[in-house]
Amino acid sequence: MASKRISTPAKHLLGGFRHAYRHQQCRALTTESTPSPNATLAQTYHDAHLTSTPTEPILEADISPIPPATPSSPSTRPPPPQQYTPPRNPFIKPTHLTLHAFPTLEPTTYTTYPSTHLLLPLRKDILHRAIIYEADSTRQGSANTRWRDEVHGSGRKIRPQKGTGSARLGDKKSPMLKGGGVAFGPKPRDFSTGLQRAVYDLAWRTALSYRYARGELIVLEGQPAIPEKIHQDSRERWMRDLLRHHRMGHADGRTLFVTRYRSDSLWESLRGQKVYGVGQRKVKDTVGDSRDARALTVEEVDVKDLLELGRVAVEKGALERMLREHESDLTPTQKLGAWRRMMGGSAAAVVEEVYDFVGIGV
Amino acid sequence: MRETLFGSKKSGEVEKQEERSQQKSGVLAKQAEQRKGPEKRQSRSGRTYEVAKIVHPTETKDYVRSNTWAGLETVGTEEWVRAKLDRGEKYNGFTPTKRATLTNAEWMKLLHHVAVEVLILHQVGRDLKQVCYPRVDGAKTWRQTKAFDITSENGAPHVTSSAPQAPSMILQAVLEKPGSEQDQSSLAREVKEVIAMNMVVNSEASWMRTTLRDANIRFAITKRLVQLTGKRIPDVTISNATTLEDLFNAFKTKEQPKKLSQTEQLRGLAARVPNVKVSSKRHTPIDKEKQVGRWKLIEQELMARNLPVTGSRLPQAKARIDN
Repeated sequence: MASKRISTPAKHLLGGFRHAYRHQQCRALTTESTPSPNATLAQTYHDAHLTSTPTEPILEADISPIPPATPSSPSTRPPPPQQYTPPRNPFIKPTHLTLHAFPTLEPTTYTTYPSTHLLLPLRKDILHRAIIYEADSTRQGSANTRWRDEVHGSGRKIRPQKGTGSARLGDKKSPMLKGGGVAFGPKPRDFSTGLQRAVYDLAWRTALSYRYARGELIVLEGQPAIPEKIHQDSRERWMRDLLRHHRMGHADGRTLFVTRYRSDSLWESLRGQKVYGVGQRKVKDTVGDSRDARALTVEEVDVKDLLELGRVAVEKGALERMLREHESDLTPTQKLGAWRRMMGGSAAAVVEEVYDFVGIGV
Repeated sequence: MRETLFGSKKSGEVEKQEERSQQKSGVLAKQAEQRKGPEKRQSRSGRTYEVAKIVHPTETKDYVRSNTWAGLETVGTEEWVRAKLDRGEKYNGFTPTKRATLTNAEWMKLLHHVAVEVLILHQVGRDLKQVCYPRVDGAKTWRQTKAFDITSENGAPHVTSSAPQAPSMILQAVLEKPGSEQDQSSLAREVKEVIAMNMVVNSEASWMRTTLRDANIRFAITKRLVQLTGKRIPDVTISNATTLEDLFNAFKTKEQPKKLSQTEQLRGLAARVPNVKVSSKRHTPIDKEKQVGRWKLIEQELMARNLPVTGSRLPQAKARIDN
């Protein structure tokens, strides 16, 4: 019954059932002629036609004219409400990023990113805040000293208050005395500070933008891995040759490799030797950190690492992850995924359109 | 008795003869060894190595004992062990080993050559990646690209040549599939031949102002230049470049200013910040006196008194208190 009601157009619901059930097949008790006063119900029933005949409703619902609803046939039904697409922001300019193959570092293709992610202006103050915040949270905070109540010893007064001619003293644990406690010395505590997530995310993208603007951001297509044909014993030297060939080694400021997942071949080819001072044991086999380069996963890297070395060689998947994780300061339409969906089509077409919009070019 | 203690003349002669024969045989043995070469053996890891000769200082006349360790092979260190285990695989990158250093005119010629190749492929509808593939053996595309003219047609770059068969010659020279690996020597030769071409290049030329709005064309030109010269430019420069001139400015060797006052930042300072004066030399006390106008008088008086005008290294120059 409900379905019947739904199929009933609005005008009939409002305007009475004058035309509602006009064509419906039903057993009607009304006949063409009015029943005779003496006709029984049975006779009337017998005389009634099975097919319905148009009958006038008993109630003449002559409601004042209400403007009819829009035509209701399926072909002219109003379209479903569409999702609102806001107009494109003309200040967000797309910029190109070349993808390189590993290990040849051959430029294979390019991709586009918005200026909100890779063309941010340099804000040293924001970078400073982020680095200080990271350094604070990295602090161990384990410095500990014994205060006067923690130093081993009794509380006995070591000399009388008066009569000795010397200064008055209580117990031997006083900080004034040798062997006594430290006066307000350090205690283990948490040095971590807070920083608004939006500011930290902005700092992250500012660091990437800085690297991009200086040409120090090299994006690799896939995960960088040493080819299988290179023998295990040659990998360290081969990696050094690769970095020297492309001027990415120690002489040129070192390189940071950022990957999505840890790759044993890359980490072990960057095997450094950390040598401690004279008299201490030589600590060998610091994997992933050599004289020429360092390797970190996306989860381990932070703003300081991105700015520390001469350049950053990042895997595309890792870069995407970093950009998507650090865009909380952007509005929903400015976020990477939304921007890409809004742009749609091929990157080249998008760039051309934007150039047309901004009026660059002949 | 004398003979048993000191040996007879005969025995001495026999000994001398034996020595001589031994020496001869030693020399002969050495010569035979040198002809054979050092003995080669295979280690457990499968690496062949040469067995080192055992040199007796008494036997070899030209042996010189060293007093320092300079130039001698250090044996037994960790580094030595790692070097021995190394298989010696060579790294081959996309860029040439030696980065090309070109003058600005040479960069212009190379840019023109590469731009023509890329634009011909674009006009015909071939994949622009093919510009980086090896060329057909013996092809010298620079002879054809030299005569091409780069123009703009409806905002898009276009190349035309007076020789009708030139485009087809270039298209035939560029392979459609990579086939073999790129030969570094052929790339070096191409660069050398292109820059040696007799071509008039001018930074004000109209072809430099051709707009390149298609990022694929910019990318292909840049990639080919990187492959030929090894010089990379930042992505942001490629992204912002709109003309061939922008690409040229990115690749060319920029003149470094010799003095800080000649840098771009400080040259405009006088206009932007009027209360700051930039000078190319250190502002000395003499300059301060000159500004005020006192220097002429000081100089005259010093010369009149026969005193040194400049310099403070003379003993009389500085005032001293003698006790």
